[in-house]
Amino acid sequence: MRTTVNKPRSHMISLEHEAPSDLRHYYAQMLLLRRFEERTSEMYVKAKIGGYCHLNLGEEATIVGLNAALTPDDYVFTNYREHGYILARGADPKRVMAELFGKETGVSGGRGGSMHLFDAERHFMGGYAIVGGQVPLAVGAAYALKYQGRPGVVIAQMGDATTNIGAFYESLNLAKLWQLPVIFFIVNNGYGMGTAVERGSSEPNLAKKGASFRIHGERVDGTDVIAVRDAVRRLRQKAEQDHEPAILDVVSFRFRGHSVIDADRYRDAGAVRRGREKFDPITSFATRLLDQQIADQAFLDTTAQQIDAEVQAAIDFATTSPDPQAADLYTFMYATPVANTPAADDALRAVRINRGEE
Amino acid sequence: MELPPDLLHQAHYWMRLTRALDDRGTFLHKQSKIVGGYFSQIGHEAISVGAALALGPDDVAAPMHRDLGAYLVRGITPQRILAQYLGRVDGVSHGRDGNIHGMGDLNYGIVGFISHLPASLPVMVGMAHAFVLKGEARVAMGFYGDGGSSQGLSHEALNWAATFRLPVVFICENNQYAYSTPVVRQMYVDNIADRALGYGMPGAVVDGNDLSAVYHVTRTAVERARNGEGPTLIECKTMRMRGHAIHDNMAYVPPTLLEEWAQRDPILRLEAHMQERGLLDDAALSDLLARIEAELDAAQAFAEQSPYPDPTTLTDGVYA
Repeated sequence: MRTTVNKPRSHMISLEHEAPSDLRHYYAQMLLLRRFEERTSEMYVKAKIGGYCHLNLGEEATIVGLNAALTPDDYVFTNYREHGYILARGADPKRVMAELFGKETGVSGGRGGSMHLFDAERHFMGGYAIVGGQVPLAVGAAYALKYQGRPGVVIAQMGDATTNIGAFYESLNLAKLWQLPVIFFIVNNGYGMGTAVERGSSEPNLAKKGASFRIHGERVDGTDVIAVRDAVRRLRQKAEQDHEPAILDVVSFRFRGHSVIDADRYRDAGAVRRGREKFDPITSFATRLLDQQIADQAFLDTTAQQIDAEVQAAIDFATTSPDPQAADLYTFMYATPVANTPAADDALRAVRINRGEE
Repeated sequence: MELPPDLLHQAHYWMRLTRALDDRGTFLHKQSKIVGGYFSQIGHEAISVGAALALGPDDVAAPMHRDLGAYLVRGITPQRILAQYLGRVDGVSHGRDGNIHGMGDLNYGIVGFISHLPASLPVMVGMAHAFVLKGEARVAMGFYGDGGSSQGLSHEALNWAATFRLPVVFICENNQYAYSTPVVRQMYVDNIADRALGYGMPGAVVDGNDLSAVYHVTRTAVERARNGEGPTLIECKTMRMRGHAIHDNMAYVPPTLLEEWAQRDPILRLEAHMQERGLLDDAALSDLLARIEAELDAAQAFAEQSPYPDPTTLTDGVYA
C-alpha cells in the first residue's frame, strides 16, 4: 500500500491586503457552521432529528472559502453533507434547522431532511443522497448556463471517494468535451466512510484525476479559508470566461465519524484528537486575526454569543414549528399534474391497513 | 520485433479463418438462415487473434462482438459457432441465443459477451481478484471499445484493478466509431490509453492492424500481470470496416476514411510481411484459403443438420 500525505498542508497567506470586515465575516460564518453542527449533533442524540445526518465539522473553511468566491449567479450542487453550504449561501438557519427536524417550515417543507436541503432562490440546488448523483446534474446545469448564454458557473461538490464512481468519470469527460463552466470541488477529508483515500483510489492525488480528460486540477489546503477562496476565484474566472472546467482537491480533516451514527473505530482515536486540534480551521483563523490585530478577544466573544443565540433561536423555531399535514403527502411531488396519482387519503388508508389499524 | 515463423503461420490461419467465418455469417444472414442481428468484425482480426494468442491456457478472456478471432483461438470451433448463429442445439448456448452474445464457455476460458458495454470489464476484474485471493497465476483479459471507454463502468473497473494491482489486461479496441458517434465527439483526449495515467497503470497505444505489434504489446502486459505487477491498458487503433451491425449502412462514415483504412488491412499486411520473409507464397495462400473454405463447408453442413432445441427444455439453463 502506498502511503500519501493526505493531510492539510497549510501555507498561510498574509492577511495584509484583506478588508478586515471580510475577514471578520468569514470568521463569523465559520463559527455559525461549527455551532450549528454541534447543536445539530446534540439534537440528533435527543431524537429531535431522525434518519441520516452528516456533519460539516472541520470543513468550515472549505465551505466559507468556496462561498466567498461565488456570485449570486453561480449554482451549487452538493452531496448529503451539506448543512454548511446552504447556510453559507445565506439560507435562514431557522428554516434549515426546521428541515432537519422534518417540519413544515423547513427549506424543503419537511419532506427532505438532512440530506435534501434545497433553496432555488439562492441557487443551492440540493443535497443528493446517492454518492455521485449530483455530479452529472451539475454538469447538466453548466450545459444550461452555456446554452442559454447566462453568466455564472456551477460548483459540483463531492467527497473524495466519489471520484471512484463512474458518474464522476462520465461527467469529467463531457464537461471538457463540451467546454462547460463547472468546477469539480472535492472535499477531501481523507476517508470515504471507513475507507482511506489510498485504499479506494489508484491515484490518491485527486487533483490529477482530470489528466485523463485534459482537465486542469489543483490541490488546496481546505483548512485555510483565504487559500480556498483564492483558488476558487481563479478557477471560477477561467470557468466562466474561458469555459474551462477544473478540479479543486480541497484537503481537510474530518472531525468525527462519517455520519452521526458512525463510531469511527477505524481511525486511531489519539490521531483523531490531535488532528482536531491541529487542523481546526476556526481556532487557527482566530489566532491569525488576533495576531494581526484584525480582531480582539471582545469581538470573538461577542460573535460567539450572537451565534449561540442565533442557533438557539433556530432550534426554538424548529421545535415549535408544525409537522407537515398528512393531507399534503403528495404536495410538491410533481411539478405538473400526473394522471392516476392516488389521493393522499387513499395512500394513508393503505398505510393504516398495512399496520392492521383498519 | 519479428515474431517466429510458426507463430506467424498460426496467427495467419486464425485471421483468415476468422474473416472467412465472418463472411459466411453475412451470407447466411442474407439467406435468412441467421435471424435477428449480425455483427461483422472485419478489420479487427489482428487484435482479437493477436491478443488471444498472448494468453496462456488457464487464462480467461471476455471477448466482444468484434472478437470472433479470440473465440476461435481459445478453441470454440466453427461448427459450434455456426450452430450458435443458426440457433441450433449444438451451438455454444444450445440454441438459446442466435448470436455472438452468449458464446461463453468457461472450459475454454471464455466469459460470454454481455451486450452492455463495457459490462464485461467488472466481471474480469472480479475474476482477476479471485485469482489473486486463491493464489493462482492466471490472467484475465477484458475487451471493450472506444464507446465503452466513455462509460463510468470502465472507470470503476480500471480503478479497482489498479488499486489492488490485479492481473488484468484491458484491450480497448478503438475502431473510430461508437455506433455512429466518431471518437472526436466522445472525448477530448487523443489516445484512450492516455487515461491509464489517471490510475497509475501503464498505457500503450498500438497499431491494431499490425498483428506482430498487438501480440508483442499484449504478451508483455500478460507477463506483467502474471508476475504480480498489475494491470495494463492497451489501446488498439483500428477501423470498423462494416456497419455497427448488418442493418447499418454506415452512411455517416466518409468513404475516403474506409478507403484509407482498406490500405492497412490487417490480413493483407501480415501476408505481405510473411511474403517478404519468405514464409508465404501465392500457392500456399491459395491452399490455405481452400482448406478453410472446406473446413467451413463441413462446419456449415454440421450446423444446418443440428436440430433446434427441444421446447420442453425451455427453462433449462435459466438458473444455475
